Amino acid sequence: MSSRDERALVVRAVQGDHDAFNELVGLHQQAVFNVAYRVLGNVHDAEDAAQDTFIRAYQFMDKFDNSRPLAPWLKRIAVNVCLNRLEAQKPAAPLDDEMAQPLDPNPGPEGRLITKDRNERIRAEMKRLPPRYRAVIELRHFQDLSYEEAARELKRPVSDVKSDLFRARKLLAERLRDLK
Amino acid sequence: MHHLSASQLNEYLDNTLEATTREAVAEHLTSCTECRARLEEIRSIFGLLAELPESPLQHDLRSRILPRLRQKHSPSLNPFFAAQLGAALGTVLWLVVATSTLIQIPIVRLGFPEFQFPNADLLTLRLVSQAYFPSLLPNLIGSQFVIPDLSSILPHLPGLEGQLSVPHLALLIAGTLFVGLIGNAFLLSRSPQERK
Repeated sequence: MSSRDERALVVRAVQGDHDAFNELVGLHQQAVFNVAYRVLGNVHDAEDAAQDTFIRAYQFMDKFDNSRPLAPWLKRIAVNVCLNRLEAQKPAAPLDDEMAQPLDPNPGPEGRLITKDRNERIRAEMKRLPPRYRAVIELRHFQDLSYEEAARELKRPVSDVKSDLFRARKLLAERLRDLK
Repeated sequence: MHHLSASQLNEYLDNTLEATTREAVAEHLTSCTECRARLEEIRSIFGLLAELPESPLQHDLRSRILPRLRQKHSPSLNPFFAAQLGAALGTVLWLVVATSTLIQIPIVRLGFPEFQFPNADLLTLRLVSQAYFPSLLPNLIGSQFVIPDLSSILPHLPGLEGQLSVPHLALLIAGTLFVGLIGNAFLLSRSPQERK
């Protein structure tokens, strides 16, 4: 679908056309789901979060700048929806690097559920990060936002976002050392 | 030798350092094996994350989202909003009844410039205190209750000679309490999330 067609759908959706919005959901649901899956690490939760993302997007559709592509806007909403869900599910994962031990790369029978292959290992370690670390990893590595854009999106100081990002990378690097 | 900070290494990989700083970092990396190893460790994460494949969506979300949109925009009245609206309308209604009862004139005459509003609190207090006086009880139902010294607190308007409708006032107080009680009971029956 061309960007022109998509813009026309957005205009119709803003006017309350559910069918037009439904078409937009069809176009972007895969991408939005993947954002949610990376941040939440669970298929069921990711599907719920993706739905919430679209509902929220519909509510704020009139605030969307239709001269820009829709996908990045939806993905940023998805990160915030996921972050809110994770924050609501406290207690959060430990922030202290020393407290977080790496998963056993060669788990016994009791650990089989955690790691089956390389991608599952990466997802599992992502999931073990504190919510705000996951959010900055998603925004920087998968959505290619600058530090400043990520900070604006998360409504946090740039220095905090950088600190979280660097710590997240350090933790992942330590825990996934055996995968390199 | 000073090693590079984690921030410098990360910003070097993110390509966000200023040109001169970037050159200095690059130069340091050529000669420092320790910093180069740290850099490679962080760089490996870039690779691992980039490798992570997209996961296929198991269910089409459209079938779940559309009903939620329709539900959200259906014209049905939210019961919580209805209760609030009812309480607000009830309060306004009681205020209108109270005002017209207290001054015993058509409500449209409130705009007259010579009008001075009575001291309603004092008036209500006197009525309530006298209403509780047992010997006066027979006078309360379906009758006009005469207060002897109302002239000091009521506005000077023609046709108003210190007579007030006690049943109206009793009804006003009871009605206000009733609306308040119903409103609070309804609020308490909602979950904390709905109350927000």
